[in-house]
Amino acid sequence: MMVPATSAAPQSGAHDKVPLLELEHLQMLFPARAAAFGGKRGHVHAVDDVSLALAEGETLGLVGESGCGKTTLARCAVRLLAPTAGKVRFRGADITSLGPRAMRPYRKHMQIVFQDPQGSLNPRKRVRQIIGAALELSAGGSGDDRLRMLLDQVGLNPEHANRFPHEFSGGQRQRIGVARALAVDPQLIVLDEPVSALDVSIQAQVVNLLDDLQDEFGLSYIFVAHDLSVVRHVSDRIAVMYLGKVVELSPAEELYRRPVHPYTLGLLGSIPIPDPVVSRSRPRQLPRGELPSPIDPPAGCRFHTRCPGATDICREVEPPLTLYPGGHEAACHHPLNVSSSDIAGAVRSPAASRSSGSVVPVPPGG
Amino acid sequence: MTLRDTGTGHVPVNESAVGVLDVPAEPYAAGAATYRLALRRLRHNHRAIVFGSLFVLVVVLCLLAPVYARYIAHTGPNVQHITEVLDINGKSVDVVSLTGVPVGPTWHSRFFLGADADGRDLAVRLLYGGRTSLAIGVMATAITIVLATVLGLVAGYYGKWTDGVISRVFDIVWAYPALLLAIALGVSLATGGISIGPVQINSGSILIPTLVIGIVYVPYVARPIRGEVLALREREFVESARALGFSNFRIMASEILPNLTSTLIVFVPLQLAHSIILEAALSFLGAGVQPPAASWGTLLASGAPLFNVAPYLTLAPATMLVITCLGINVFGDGLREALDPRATVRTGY
Repeated sequence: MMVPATSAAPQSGAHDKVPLLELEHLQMLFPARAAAFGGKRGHVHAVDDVSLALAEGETLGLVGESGCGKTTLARCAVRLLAPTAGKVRFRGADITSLGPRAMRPYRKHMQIVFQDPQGSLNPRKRVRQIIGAALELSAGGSGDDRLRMLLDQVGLNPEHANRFPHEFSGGQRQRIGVARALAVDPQLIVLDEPVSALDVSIQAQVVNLLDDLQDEFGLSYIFVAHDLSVVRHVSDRIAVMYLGKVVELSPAEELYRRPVHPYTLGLLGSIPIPDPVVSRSRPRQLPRGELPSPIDPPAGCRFHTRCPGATDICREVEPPLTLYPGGHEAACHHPLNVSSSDIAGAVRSPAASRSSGSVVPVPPGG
Repeated sequence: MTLRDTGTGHVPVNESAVGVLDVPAEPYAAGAATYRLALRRLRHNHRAIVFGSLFVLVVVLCLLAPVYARYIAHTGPNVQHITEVLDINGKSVDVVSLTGVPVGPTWHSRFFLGADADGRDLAVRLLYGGRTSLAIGVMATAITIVLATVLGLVAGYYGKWTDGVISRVFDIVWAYPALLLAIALGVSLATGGISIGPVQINSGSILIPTLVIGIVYVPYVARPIRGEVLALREREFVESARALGFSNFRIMASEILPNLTSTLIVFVPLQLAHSIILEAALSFLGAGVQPPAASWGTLLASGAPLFNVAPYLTLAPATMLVITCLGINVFGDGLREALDPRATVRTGY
């Protein structure tokens, strides 16, 4: 892995101008299958009251284990899904409930790259057709030259335009997916686990490609990943999600140096280290047990069923997302790695869930 | 900045790594290559080729019916020769005897397969009947496939109440045995004809059995299509098309439909055989093609009462039906095997 050349983007959501994308108290519920007789019809709380903002040119990492709602959040952000509640704003314009036709002008500003490079390309179409269809929307012309330029920009041989997706390797397919997203000249690209399906050796190449393209075209990314190692070097800020909620949000390096939420600490401990000696010797505090059902999420802090430091208050009151001095936000009653002055300066974050309490965190044992 | 690539040393990052990454894809292929591969498998399936050729032979013979009638048999399909006397190898034979028994196969140019009770040339009627049967089969298959594709696509893609309405209609059609439904529709329409606005179909027209057969089979094809669309709709390339703002029609027509082609190709021979058999059954029961027009079904119907004295009247059309449907079905099986991706494992391609 390597460090990108730039990270010139604002570190904490620029307040002086309108963010590129704002999610406000976003909620996405999916109806769950009802029991056969007299069963109460529940909902899967995929995303439950999440507020995030993305500045121009910024990369927001979105991390969490499978089923935490990060992909649903990503799809709501580009309006592939219509959220149950909350708002999606693009450059200040509310696009939450726009129909497919009204959404069309915004489509060329926001694109998505999917996890499965095989599934995201129509197996019956040649690369020329796949990217050509996206080029129709582009203002920069849809000629053959543009197609060849795009393929070249993503590191593919322009001669391969007439091939079918199955004739490429996984990494190359993902490059085709990136080229398709780039074809419409977007400002925002949501990367939904863009490298999870790739070999480790190919992952770095694709991540570097994405990083270079960001510099070249001034793109903003929402980079979804299920482990913290992938997003470390590309993200300006990282949001950690657990069971539909954002539990921690902080500038990227800060998160690794000083995780505040126990779940983040657990995620950091689960990053594989390719050296058994180092790996065994590091102190680890992994979350216990299984992810609870998102149909009936635990009361209070959603993480309390697996948290080693959970107390009574965690079982009763949902901790609010708390803004600590320095722009670090976390939702925990017993924050780690914070000094008493940090806690003294802590305020309830404007992005905190509406259902969360207003209790100020207390230091462990305090 | 470099990245260590296992085995092959250093791979320059962000430069053209295409040459290094150019590894062959999965063993099973999609896209146009599927069809090329399928065609190659089909060519090696001798059984399918032989039976397919048999069907083609039947089609060619039936298409040549007017030529046979005019230049070999010197008669038409509906020309009666009841009072004529034939000269066979020096013997005088009545086309239809005084007791009503028609002449058997002469193996000569005239009345090659014998005559029917009205003194008509059976061989000529058999070929003309084949034209009718095949035409109804082909048109009914086309109706079935087109309707089933459209309905299956719409039901599977839109889901919700659209799917509910369409699927319940399918259930209703499906609740009746295809033959019973076709008889009911055929009988009621055959007597009165169809008159919907400017569209007028006379009661004797072969379009009536064609429509009946075409519609009766729609749910049988539309259901699997709908199921496949349900799966395809969730694929990420469809979502990607949605992210590009494509209309629903465009997504259905240009993203999903091309992925249904191999299923549809498999259904064509299957439906063709089914339609031809249903036509024969309907016509046999009087709910299909109306006499004097010939089809294999009407030939069977008119020959059946004379089975004891003139069995060839039923055996000839029955044989044609068997050869045709066997040819189609064995070829269709080969086609399905060739298109099935799992066939890769079985045949070793």
